[in-house]
Amino acid sequence: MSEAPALDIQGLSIALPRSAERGFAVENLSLQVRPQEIVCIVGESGSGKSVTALSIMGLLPRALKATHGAIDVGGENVLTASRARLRELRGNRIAMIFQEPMTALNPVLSVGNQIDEALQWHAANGARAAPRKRVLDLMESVGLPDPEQLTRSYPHQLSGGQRQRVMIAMALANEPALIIADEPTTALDVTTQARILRLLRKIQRTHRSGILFITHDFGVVAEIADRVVVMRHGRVVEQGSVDEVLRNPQNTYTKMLLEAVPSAEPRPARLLPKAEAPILTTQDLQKTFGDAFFLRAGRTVRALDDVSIDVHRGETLGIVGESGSGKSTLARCIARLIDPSGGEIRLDGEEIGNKTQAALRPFRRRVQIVFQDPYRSLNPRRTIGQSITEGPRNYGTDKGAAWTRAGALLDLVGIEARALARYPHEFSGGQRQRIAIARALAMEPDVLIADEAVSALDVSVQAQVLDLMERLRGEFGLTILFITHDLRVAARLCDTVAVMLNGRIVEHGPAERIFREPQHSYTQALLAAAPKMRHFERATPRGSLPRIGTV
Amino acid sequence: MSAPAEPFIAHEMAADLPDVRRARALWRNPGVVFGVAVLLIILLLAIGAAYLANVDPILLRPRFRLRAPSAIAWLGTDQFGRDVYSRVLFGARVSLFIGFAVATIAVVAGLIIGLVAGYLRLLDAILMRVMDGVMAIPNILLAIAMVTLSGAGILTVIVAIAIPEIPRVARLVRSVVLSVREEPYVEAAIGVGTPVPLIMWRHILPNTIAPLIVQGTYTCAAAILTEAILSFLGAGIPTEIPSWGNIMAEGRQSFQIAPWVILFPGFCVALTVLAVNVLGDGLRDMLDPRIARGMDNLQ
Repeated sequence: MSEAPALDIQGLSIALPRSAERGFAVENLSLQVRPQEIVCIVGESGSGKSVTALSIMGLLPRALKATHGAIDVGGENVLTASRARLRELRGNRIAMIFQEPMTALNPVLSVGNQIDEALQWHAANGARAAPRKRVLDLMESVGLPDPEQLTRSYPHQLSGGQRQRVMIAMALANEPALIIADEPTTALDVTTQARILRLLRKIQRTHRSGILFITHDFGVVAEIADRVVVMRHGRVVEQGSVDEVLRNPQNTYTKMLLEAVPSAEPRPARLLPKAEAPILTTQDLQKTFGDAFFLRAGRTVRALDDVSIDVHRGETLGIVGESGSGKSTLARCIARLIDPSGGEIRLDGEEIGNKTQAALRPFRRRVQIVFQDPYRSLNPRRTIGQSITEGPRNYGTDKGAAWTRAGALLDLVGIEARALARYPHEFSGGQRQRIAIARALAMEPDVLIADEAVSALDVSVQAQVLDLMERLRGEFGLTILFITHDLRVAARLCDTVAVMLNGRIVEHGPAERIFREPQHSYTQALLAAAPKMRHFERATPRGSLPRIGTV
Repeated sequence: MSAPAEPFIAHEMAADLPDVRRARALWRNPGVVFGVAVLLIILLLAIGAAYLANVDPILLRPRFRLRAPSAIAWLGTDQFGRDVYSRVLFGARVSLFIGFAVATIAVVAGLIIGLVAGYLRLLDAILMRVMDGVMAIPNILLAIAMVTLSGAGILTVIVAIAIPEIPRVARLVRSVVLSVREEPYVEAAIGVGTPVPLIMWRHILPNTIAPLIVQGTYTCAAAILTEAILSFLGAGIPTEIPSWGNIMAEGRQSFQIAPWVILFPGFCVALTVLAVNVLGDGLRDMLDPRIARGMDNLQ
């Protein structure tokens, strides 16, 4: 405790340009990170957490200016340091790990060279005794397999987790006093995320660096933090030890955020109407991507390998898997945005897998899809009214009726009907996703495919959209194919769950069973890796779910 | 704007704004203002040539050969005693017409080919290989060959200059189509059963407008230059129709004693091409989202 902190921020305020909706990106922020301590800054988008990280690195965009306060790193105020001095500090005393390791690494330099470069820039000449050995040691210490071989690899040859390990090795290169990790696991799969978090904890024990860890995910906080700083709109709303904050949050916003974190508790089974024939089935569905050209066989990737699913009317099937598992390919095949390579897709018994685009027309409206990225799924040049009415107009609904219905649907998803004349950029991500849902509902579909539909949203917004989907499926008797990488989200909504790995379904069954008694080792690994609140269970778990066997 | 439902989001990009607001921002760009102003003046001079010119541009006056600029002949006379001022004014008509005509033909043809190639993968390989072939022919050579085969005339020159420009536009449009067709909003449109022609018209075409305007201005400038070069080489517009190019071509022999014959049309070519290029740069800055993204992406 008596040690000097690795980072000491006092009363930091960073002004936003005059045109912005609030005066400060960060207002009167004070926090300390001690050596060997992991401090998490938690907040949703726009909370000022990334701006804080950039200001510590001296990398603030020109439009932003720190107006008050001091950022003290190892006894030196970063805010008043010269450009040359800042360059020395970066990497030497402060290092940063970014969210997207692919873009943070230079694609044309080998991994070994990049780590070596991090060493070269900052170590004094004398200290560069055996740089080669140091590179290998670093790679070893972050758990990269076969460092000898890997030094010659280029970033694109590595997996996402390996790239992030390289970034961490570079950050550790000069034993900095402070490592800033800006959402370092957000772009990674859950199992990879779990391994990276474990690595960071190990580093914390063996190195002296303090870590400032920026995240939006309370699950991650519970896994890794010693202390927590909760930010909202640029202000600290609560800070304290991880125990205090997670067990006994004082601030209402913190409580709301914690409430919104989906637990990996499956919902109690709903009473579904006794099913006749399933509404949607796929039988041995295959999709092969490849670069075959004329008669020459190229490399091919089996994105879907004999996938068979049944979905009954009113059921919500969660399709869970990590990136590359083929879950999105499955969604796009079923929506017939891409053509399957083999097998069949039946909608109400009718084969739609090999119909031509023209013959598909009547079926199009019965299967609708909501996409992941709310910023790209609406045409920025068209009003949301035009977007919502496009489908019904295609099928001959007259203009007046289509617009009236669009208004009613907007109302239903919680947006004022008079917003129909507005353009997408006037809405937030959560609102846009509601609009996309309204567009899908305008077609009166039987099956709604949600392809990572809540993954890009802040957790509180995510909870609202999930609530909305839950309400709508009851109201419309919707069958939902819910595709997600996040088991916690699937647990919240799905009746049945199919777990995908390498284009195959490895486990399929009622959500309760999958979550409580996973059979396949991969499902078990996924469940184990999902960040959860573990020791910080709230006094009253959500909805006080009855445990299996107690009812 | 009426009050939006949600507070303004700081990371909104200019590319996301509706076209009306972007169009308004255009007039704050000095390049756009300068280019449009200069082109308007030249256009007015060209349209009013019949009234502004004081002498018939093709009237030969052997007694007044190679006179320096004076009160009688404002920009001097050429080796046949024709009035350079009148010829430059009438020449503006031909040069501007060729510039606009070439740009229009190249943009329209390139747009159609690019849209088809970008959206219908089947035709893509064939169309783009043909385009590569056309691009491989040097444009001056192609023009000289065409003029030789079908005789000099404005139409021949326009077609000869336009053909090599088409592949450039087609490739540009195709690349835009290829990236836009992967956008989720296009997939969403497919999902709600929008027919292909309507998808092209509603969702894809609008994205090509901005780069096309930019490419069109450059094509226009290049065409004016190429016409001048062709005429200068004697493979362009026949001399009885004055164009900036052939005025200079004829002034070539007497350049040392009568530099004004080349100087004034040359100045006009330079000014026009400069104005069109500056306009193109301004448009590109304002319309290309990658450059127009003025604001830093704040988290």
